[in-house]
Amino acid sequence: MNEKLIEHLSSNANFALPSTLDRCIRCNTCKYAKDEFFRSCPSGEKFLFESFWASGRIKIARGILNGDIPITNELYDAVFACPTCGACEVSCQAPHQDTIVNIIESLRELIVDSIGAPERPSKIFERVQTTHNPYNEPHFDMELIKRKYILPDKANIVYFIGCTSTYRQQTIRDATLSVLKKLGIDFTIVNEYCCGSPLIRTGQIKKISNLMQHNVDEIRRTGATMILTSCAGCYRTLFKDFPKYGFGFPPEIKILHTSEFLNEYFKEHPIPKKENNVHWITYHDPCHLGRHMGIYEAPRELIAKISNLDLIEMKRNREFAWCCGSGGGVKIGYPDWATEVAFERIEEARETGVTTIVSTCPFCKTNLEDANKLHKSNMQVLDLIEILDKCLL
Amino acid sequence: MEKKENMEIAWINNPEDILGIGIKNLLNYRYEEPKFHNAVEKFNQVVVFDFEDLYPISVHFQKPIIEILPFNGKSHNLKLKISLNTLISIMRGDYSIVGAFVRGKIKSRQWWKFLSIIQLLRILIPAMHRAKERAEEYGK
Amino acid sequence: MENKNSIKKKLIKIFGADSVSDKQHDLYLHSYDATENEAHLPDFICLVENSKQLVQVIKLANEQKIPLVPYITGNNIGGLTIPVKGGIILDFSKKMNKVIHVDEDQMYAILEPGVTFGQLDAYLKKHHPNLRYCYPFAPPYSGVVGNAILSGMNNLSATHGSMGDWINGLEVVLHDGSIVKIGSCFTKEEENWDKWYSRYPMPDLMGLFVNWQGMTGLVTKCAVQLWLRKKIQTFIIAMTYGGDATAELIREFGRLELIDDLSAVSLEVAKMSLGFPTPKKFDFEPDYAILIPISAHSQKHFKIKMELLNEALKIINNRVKRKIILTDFNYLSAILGEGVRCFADLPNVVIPLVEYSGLTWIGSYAPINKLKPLMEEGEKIFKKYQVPAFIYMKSMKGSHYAIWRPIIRFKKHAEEKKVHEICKELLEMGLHYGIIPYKTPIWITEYLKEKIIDPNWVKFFTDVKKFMDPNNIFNPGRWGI
Repeated sequence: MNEKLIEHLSSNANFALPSTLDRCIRCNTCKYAKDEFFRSCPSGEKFLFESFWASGRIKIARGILNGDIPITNELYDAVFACPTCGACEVSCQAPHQDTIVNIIESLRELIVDSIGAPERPSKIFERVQTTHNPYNEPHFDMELIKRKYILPDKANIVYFIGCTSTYRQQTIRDATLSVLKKLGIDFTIVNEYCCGSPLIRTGQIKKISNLMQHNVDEIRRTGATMILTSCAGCYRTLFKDFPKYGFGFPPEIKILHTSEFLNEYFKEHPIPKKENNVHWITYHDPCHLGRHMGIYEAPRELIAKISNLDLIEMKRNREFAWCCGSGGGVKIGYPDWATEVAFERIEEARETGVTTIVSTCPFCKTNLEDANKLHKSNMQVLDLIEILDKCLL
Repeated sequence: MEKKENMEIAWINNPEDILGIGIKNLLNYRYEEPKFHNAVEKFNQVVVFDFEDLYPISVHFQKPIIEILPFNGKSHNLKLKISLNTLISIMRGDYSIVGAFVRGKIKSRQWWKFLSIIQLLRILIPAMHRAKERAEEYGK
Repeated sequence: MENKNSIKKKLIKIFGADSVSDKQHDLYLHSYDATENEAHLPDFICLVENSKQLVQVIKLANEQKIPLVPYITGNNIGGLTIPVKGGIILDFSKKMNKVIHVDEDQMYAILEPGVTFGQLDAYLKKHHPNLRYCYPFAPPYSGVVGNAILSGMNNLSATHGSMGDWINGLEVVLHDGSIVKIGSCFTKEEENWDKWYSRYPMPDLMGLFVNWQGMTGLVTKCAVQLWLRKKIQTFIIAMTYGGDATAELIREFGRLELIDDLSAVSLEVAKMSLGFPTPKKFDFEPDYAILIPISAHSQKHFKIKMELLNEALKIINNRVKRKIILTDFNYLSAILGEGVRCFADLPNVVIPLVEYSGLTWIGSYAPINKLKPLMEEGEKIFKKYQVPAFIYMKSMKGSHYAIWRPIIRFKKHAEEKKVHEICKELLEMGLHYGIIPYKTPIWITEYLKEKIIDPNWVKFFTDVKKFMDPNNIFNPGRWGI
């Protein structure tokens, strides 16, 4: 018995070992979108060996537990080449369905703890320790933004921008700030550190508490009762992982994704009609917003409220959406494969006949754009908040 | 045991016999409806459904709980003889509940309790409608 | 035998570096399946893409005396893909999984080995909506060809029998690397998909591969018969008390040729699907739930079928101790709960089959006139071991024979010993009543050879195997060879 794994898995709040590992019969249901037989697992579809599908990974955990599989770097690909998109959890119908991503993340933690992280993801750890962001950019001075947008020190709402919108997809940050200002929302921003998502997703949880503690302190200082985020990854982390690691916000502090917040807001305040030409778009569900947090309809309802937008669904949508391929450390660990996965999504968007794919996550946008550029696809990749900003006066 | 906050009926027990499981599921179609909880509160009786082709089962509509148990011969307020196919025929609309009584498909020796029967029907009929809608979806 | 590194290099040359693995965790995953059968590690896993690769790997296997174990999805519940003598797992499911051709007029599909039931169903619904194949009582992503060549049963079995009966043609790679087509496709023409319409009338060489568990060659194509997807497809369900009524209903309804299928399960199984993984069974409850799919060309056709079934039921009910209840399954499932739909809306995940990491059975063909003692004695064994009864039975091909399958769910890596005892007791009892196990694990074939089978049959069987596979490279160890 591998005591470490038991400890790792048992400490995962959502399931109790060993029953979870004893609930998979390897029936293969996790491999395909239920009922429709759509390909649903980017990892299995790419690498094809059983160990790259959810059921294989569960059995790897069992093998380690039994002492049949030694922990060596031979395991790296099978355990880390997975965007933890959760499609397997949707397809699986067995009692352990909600625990698969947890098992994979626990396996990663165990491997990192035993032999260290694979080379590329380990860079994230180093970068976050020194610059507080996974992109190795100098820590951004949020005071610049605060001054530009005249934001107070204290406010009802904190907009938690997230590293990708701060250091890469600034248009999402700027559009969000612009929208909130245009709507007259009482909000501010904080001197944020990485939320920890890329570290947690890659099993590098050693110093995660420092990041969480800093962010909690920063947010508390504002007196806010709501945290807004335009990043699906930050959203999942603030909502689910902060409490898991003992940094949960008190219940009076709500955590919302911008699409949820704005969808509610615009129920009472119609979005002005700016032009008559109808734009056909399709919507890509970010895994961390959709499958991980169950938010599928808020972005769609928001799109429906924008009078000149018409949504055409891709064949794999909502809980069956094909992952963009960037999550779970795949973007840094397997960059070529990440864009390959994203390109499949771009192609699926193209099948609908639209020329614009819209998402609600800066990380998805980055990867979709990368695939778009690489393949010269001429698909416009936008975040919903960017469209919304243009609609508001 | 399912807890439901701010509802009159705090829970329905978890019967483990097949008819009990079915009756619970049937009642659960209305579990979110305040009207259902009001109707149960008003009713407040123990009914025995004597499924001739299966076995008798008692439903204790006694707030704040509904308890569904295989009938053990203990006291009850109302006893109805019925069959599984009669229940399904009523759901399907082959005949109404009144029609079922007239045809002798449902029998009761306690006719003087017709008010109780009407109260019971107020609980059951909407649930059966919901189940019918579900069955029709399955049939598509 | 050369050393492993040298063999690996040769395998990489055949299959490509991305399609060969000897990593410990990959080998481990193929060392066991859901059953209680003993685990054995393979030496390599190879992802097969085409027949040409198979010709080459067979040559290598003969030279090096390395076992070749075909693998599709591993859901056979017989330990059939556990490499008992090590060797190379040939995984057909990842790259050799195309629906090659569907012939609408002649109603058959030519499939590569990796095609699954879910995949075929989706394909037919999209491209040939007037045709259907069938589904077994198994996860939706079980392999079609594996099930067909192991004579699996399905949801059309009451009328059409086993999937093994529906094979029109096979393409097989033999031990000498030759590729042979069997059935009406046996002509010199290559890729003439029009010719796979019949198994007969030439000598039936199909028997050299059907039910042989991959011991005689590697099947690379299989033509399976398809059936009309009728306008009306619905379900009725019977609930029965006692072995008498259950056996009589299975037999009599099966022989009327009015229904597509008839699957009887212990009532406990229905409860498992409703959220009771280890259900209680009360004496006053019915003993079996019997799901009966019916299809018809029109409402009139359906009505006539139902009239005839109801007439038959009346006669049966006059004979049995306690009347059988026959009712509309769509309505009953709306009353009981969504869970029971898993038995009907196939291909679907049959919830009771996926609740534990271990699953095993005594899967058997049975004489239809012995179902009563089989179910009654079987229930006693389940009770003795305090395991919820899970007996699954079917009428096959107009009730010419039946299926009797006691199924056991268990915790892998913990309960194998106990489960093996239960299986052995069920097997001995079943054999007493004349069952013939199918998809047989090795321990059962050894038992059969020792206690039941005529030695002349064993000799003939062994001789055929030697002829078909002189170096014993194809799934060795099966049937004790």
